[in-house]
Amino acid sequence: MFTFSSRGNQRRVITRVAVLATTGALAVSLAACSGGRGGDESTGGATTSAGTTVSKFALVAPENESDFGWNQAGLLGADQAATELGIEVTLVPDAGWDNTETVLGQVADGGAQFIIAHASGYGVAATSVADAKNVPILIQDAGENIPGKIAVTKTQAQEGGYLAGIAAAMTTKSKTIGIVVSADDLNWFKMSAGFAEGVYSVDPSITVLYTSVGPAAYADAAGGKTATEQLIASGADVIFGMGDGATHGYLQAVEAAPGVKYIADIGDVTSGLSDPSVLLTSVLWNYGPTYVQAIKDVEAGTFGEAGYELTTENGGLSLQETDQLTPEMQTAIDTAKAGIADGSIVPTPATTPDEVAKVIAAKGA
Amino acid sequence: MSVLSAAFVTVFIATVIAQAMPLLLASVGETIGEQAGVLNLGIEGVMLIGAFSGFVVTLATGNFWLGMLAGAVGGVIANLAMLVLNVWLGLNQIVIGLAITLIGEGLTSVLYLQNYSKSSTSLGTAPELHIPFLADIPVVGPAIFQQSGIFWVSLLLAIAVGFFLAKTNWGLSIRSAGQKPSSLDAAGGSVVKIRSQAVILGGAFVGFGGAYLAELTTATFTPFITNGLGFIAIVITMLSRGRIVFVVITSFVYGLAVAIGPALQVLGFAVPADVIKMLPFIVVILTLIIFARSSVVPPALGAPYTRGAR
Repeated sequence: MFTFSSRGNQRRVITRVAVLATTGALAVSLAACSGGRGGDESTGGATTSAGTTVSKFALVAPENESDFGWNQAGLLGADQAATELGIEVTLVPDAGWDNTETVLGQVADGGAQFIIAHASGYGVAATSVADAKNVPILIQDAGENIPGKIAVTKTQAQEGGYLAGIAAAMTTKSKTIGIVVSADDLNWFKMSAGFAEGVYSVDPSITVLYTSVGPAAYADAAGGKTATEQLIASGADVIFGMGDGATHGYLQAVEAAPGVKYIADIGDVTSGLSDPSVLLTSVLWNYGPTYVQAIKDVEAGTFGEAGYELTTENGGLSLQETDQLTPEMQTAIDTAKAGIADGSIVPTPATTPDEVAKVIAAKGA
Repeated sequence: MSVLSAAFVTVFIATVIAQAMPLLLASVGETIGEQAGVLNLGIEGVMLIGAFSGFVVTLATGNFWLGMLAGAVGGVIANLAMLVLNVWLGLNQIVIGLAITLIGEGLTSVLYLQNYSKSSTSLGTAPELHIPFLADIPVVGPAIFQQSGIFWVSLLLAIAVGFFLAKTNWGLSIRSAGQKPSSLDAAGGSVVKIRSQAVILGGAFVGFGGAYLAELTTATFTPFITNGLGFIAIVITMLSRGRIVFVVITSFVYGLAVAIGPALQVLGFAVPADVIKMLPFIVVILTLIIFARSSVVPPALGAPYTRGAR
C-alpha cells in the first residue's frame, strides 16, 4: 500500500514538474517571439530595400535536387545566378512545408540580402518575412507584387509543353501518347494542355491519354509506376511525365518497356536513367536568368514593381537537347517557337483538370 | 491499338498484385504481433527500413532474393526497439511505435539523400518464374503465372503463418499471450519469450513487405515510399481478427482499389485525382464499417505483461 501511495505521489510530482516546465518553456518562447517582433517592427519601418547591393542571397526549397524537377531547377538556377554575378549563395534544400516562416526568417537573419522562396506554398510566409525582416523575396506562381518586398515568378508552362508535344508526335509509332502527372498542379495543367495541342498540331489523329497519380502525390513513386504502366499497356509509346519524386516511378515503368520514350519536365533526368537513350527530351525550366534579373532589380531599387516570367522566348523554357531529337524535329520545334514568340501560336494555359480534358478532347480543333 | 486491350487487362491484374503484396506481408507481420498482444504502431517505419535495406542490397548485388532477405533482417533490427523497450522493459507500446515510425522515416530519408540522390536508382525487373502451361493462358497467365518467384514464396509464407497460428501449439501460445497472458504464464509458458518471438517474426514479415514494395512494386526507393501503407496494414490486421485468409482478401481488395483509379482515367473517365487517391482508403473504411461490429482485438493487446501484476 505504501509503495502504491509513494508511486502515486511521485507521479503527481513528476506531472506537476512537467506541466510547470512546459508552461515555462512556452512563456519563454512567447516572450522571445514578442521581443523579436518588436525589434523587427522598429527596423522594418525605417528602411527599404531600394538600391541594396546584393553580395549574398539564398534559395529555400521544400525538397532537394534528387527530384529531377522543380527543386533541382531552382537550386541549379540559384547556383547559375551566383556564378554569373560572382556573389555568394546559400542553398537551403529540404526545408519542407512546416515552419517555413521560421526557416525564411533564419535565412534573412543569416545575412541574405535577397531570398528566393522556391515553392508556391511559401507565398504567405514569404510575405510575412519580407515585411518583418525587410528583405526582398521572390515567390512562385501566385501572389501580388509588392514594391521593394515581394515579386512573383510565373511560368508560361504551356509553351514548353507545346514544343514537347511536337517532338512526341513526331516520335510515336503507335499513335498513342500518354501524359502522367502526380498532382493537381497549375503548371502541370498548363503544360499538359500545351503538350496535347503540340501533339495535335502535328497529327490530330493521335490519341492522347491523361492520368493523374493523385492530388498531391508528388513523391509517390509506386503510384507513378502504376499509372505509367497502365498508359504503356494502353498503347502509349511516348510518355510525358510530370512528377518530382514520382518521376522515379515513371522512369522504372518506361525503362521496363522496350521502345517507349520518355519526356521529362523541369529538370534533367539523365542521371536517373540506366539507359539515357530512353529520354526523348525534357521541358527544362531555367531560373538562372530570372534570378539574375531579380537581383539586378533589387540593386536598382525596382524589385517588386513587376513580376517575372519563364517563357520560351526569354529562354526560361526550352527543350533539352538529346540524340533522340532529330533535325526534322528540331526544325519543327524552332518554327513553333517562333510562332509562339510572334503570337501566331497561343497554347492554352489550362488551369484545371477539366480544361485539360477539354483540350485533349478537342483534338486541336 | 484499343485502349482496353488484353495487354491493358494483363497489366491491370499485375498492378493489383504488385500493390497488394507489400500490404499483405506487412499485415501478416502485424497480425503475428497483435495476436501475441503487441500493437506495433511503428510498422510504417519498419517497412521503410525493410524497403531501404532491400533496395541497398539489391542495388549493390543485383540479386533480388538477397535484397528480400536484407529487408527481412532490416525489419527485425527495426523491431528490436519494440522488443527491448516494450516486451522486456514494459514501456508504452504506442509511444514506442510512433518513435519507430519517425526514426524509420528520418533515417531512411537521410541515408537515401546522402548516398543515392544523384545517381540512377533503378533496380530493373526481377527475374520472372514462368510456370509452364499456366503462364500461356491468355491475359491472366502473364499477369499471375509469370510473376517473380518472390511472389510465390511470399504467398506460401503467408499461408504458412496462417496455418501455424491456427493449428499448432506455437500458434496457441501466441494467441494466449494476446488473449490472457496470465493463463499462458500459469500454464508454464513464458509470455516474454512468446512475445519476443512474435515481435521478431513480425518484424521480418513487415521488413519483407517493405522490401517487396521497393524491389518489385516500385523497382526503386524514394523517401517515404510507403505513403501510409503501414497504417493501413494496422487497420487490416485489426479487421482480420488474426485470420490470414481475411488479410489476403482485404489486401487484394486494396490493390484493386489502387489500380482502378488510374485505369479509369486512362479509359477516358473523368475521375478527379482526389478520388483516385482516396479510393483505397474509402474501401478500407467501408470494410471497417461493414465488419467493425465483429472485429475483436486480443484483450491484452497494447498492455505490457508484468508477472503477478493486476
